[in-house]
Formats: sequence, C-alpha cells, structure tokens
Amino acid sequence: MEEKETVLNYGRVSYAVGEDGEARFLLNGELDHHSVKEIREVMDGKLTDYRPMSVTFDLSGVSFTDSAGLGLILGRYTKISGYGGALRLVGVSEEFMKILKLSGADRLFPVEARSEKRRIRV
Amino acid sequence: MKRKAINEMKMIFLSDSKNESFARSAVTAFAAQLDPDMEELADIRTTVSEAVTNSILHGYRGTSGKITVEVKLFDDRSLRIRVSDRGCGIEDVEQAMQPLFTTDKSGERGGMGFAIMKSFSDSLSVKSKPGVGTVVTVTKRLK
Repeated sequence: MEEKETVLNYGRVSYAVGEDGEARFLLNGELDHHSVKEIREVMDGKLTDYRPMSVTFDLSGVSFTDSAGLGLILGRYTKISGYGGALRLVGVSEEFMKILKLSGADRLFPVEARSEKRRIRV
Repeated sequence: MKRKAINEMKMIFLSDSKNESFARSAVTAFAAQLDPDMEELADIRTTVSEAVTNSILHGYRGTSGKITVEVKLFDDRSLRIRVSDRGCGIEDVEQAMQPLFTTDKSGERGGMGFAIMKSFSDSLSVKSKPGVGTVVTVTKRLK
C-alpha cells in the first residue's frame, strides 16, 4: 500500500510522517560541524513538537559524515529515547558505518547499510 | 631505503567552519595523485575534517585564527598530513585522545575525533602547548 505523506522540506533535511505514524527525516549533503547546526534545529523542533515514537533517519542522500554527524545522531537518539521513542538509521554509507562501529553507536539502535545502487560517489 | 618526498603542498586559511569542507576537498584532491581507492580517499577526507574541526572548535573556540594544513606525498605511496593552529592548545593530550572524552557538555559531540583519526590512519601524533597551539600529524600508507 502506498503511504500518503506530507514532506516538509528544510534544505538539508526533510521531514515526513507516514500513515503508520512513523516519522522519517531525510538528510542530504555533508554532515559536518558546519552543517549540523541548521539540521539540528529543524530536527529538534519536530521532535519537541510531535514526539514521534518511531523515528527513522534516512542518510541515503548524505555524501559525507564525520564525528559531528555522529554527535548529531547521538544527541537526537538521547532525546528520542528520553521520551520513550525508538530510532533507526537507514541508508548508511560504508564510511559512516565504520564510525558508528568504532564508537559503538551501532549497538544502540538498528542500523541499515546503504544499498549499492543508492550509494553516493563523491 | 629512506622514502623520498615526491610532492608537497601547504595552505593557510581562517578558522571559519565553512573551511572544513574546503580543507578536506583540497587535501583529497591533492592526495588523488597517489591514486588512492575510494575507502582510502574517504579515510583521508574524514581525518582532515576531524583535525580541522578540532582546531576551529577547540583550538580557537569561536575566535578567528589561522589554520595551516601541509601535505607531503612520498614515493612509497604514503602521505603525511599536518594540521597546525595557534589556538589555546590542549592541557592534557593523553586525556583528549581517549575515545569518548569530550569537553562538550551539551551531548552533541561524541568525543570521537582523535579515535577516528587514529583508526583511519597509520600513525597519529599530537603535539600541543597550552597558550601556544596544537600540531596534529597523521601518516597513511596507501595500498
């Protein structure tokens, strides 16, 4: 069944809620210390207003992530789990998977790797 | 036999967070001469990003200063990247290099910068003096 979604676009991040109530943040571009500030504000606004119980971060449009991107995700994970919600990551690049594993963050929530055809080459 | 440097570059830029992206792109473009594979290129890009972000965030703490990045390529397919700043320096380098150590109280930084740099390169050296600045040197040997 096709889900009806309203996608709200905020530049590097868009937000959609499916009929099943799952909130999906689609992130785009580079996640570094410079760019995460703006993304964090948008995400925190939605999480505070709606407190969705099931949240997916789709990183398939992300071309670069370093420890600032990891910090963005860990900060949101703390917030979501704080009100009893659950987070999962999809579309994770090989590079970012290495960082998630190194930090142990891959044991905190489900993490799904990016499929070959969706991989972004930079 | 001692390895021989085959090319080198040096760039100096301001501690503006917009330059994080510039620095990692410039270094990977230069390192491309050694024909690294995608994973090696990604490792270099991430390492530079971590080092430069550290200088901006912790070295200069929002103030304006200059960051120098030097890259040397060697004939044994290795490269050395040096990122230096004249920021506030690190009081306890050993402590700063511990995974998950962070001075950030907001919970937005994972304290993984040095752990990532160490894991993504073959050697990492950090020299710092409070009030004087920090020099981070990483080497990576390509396949």
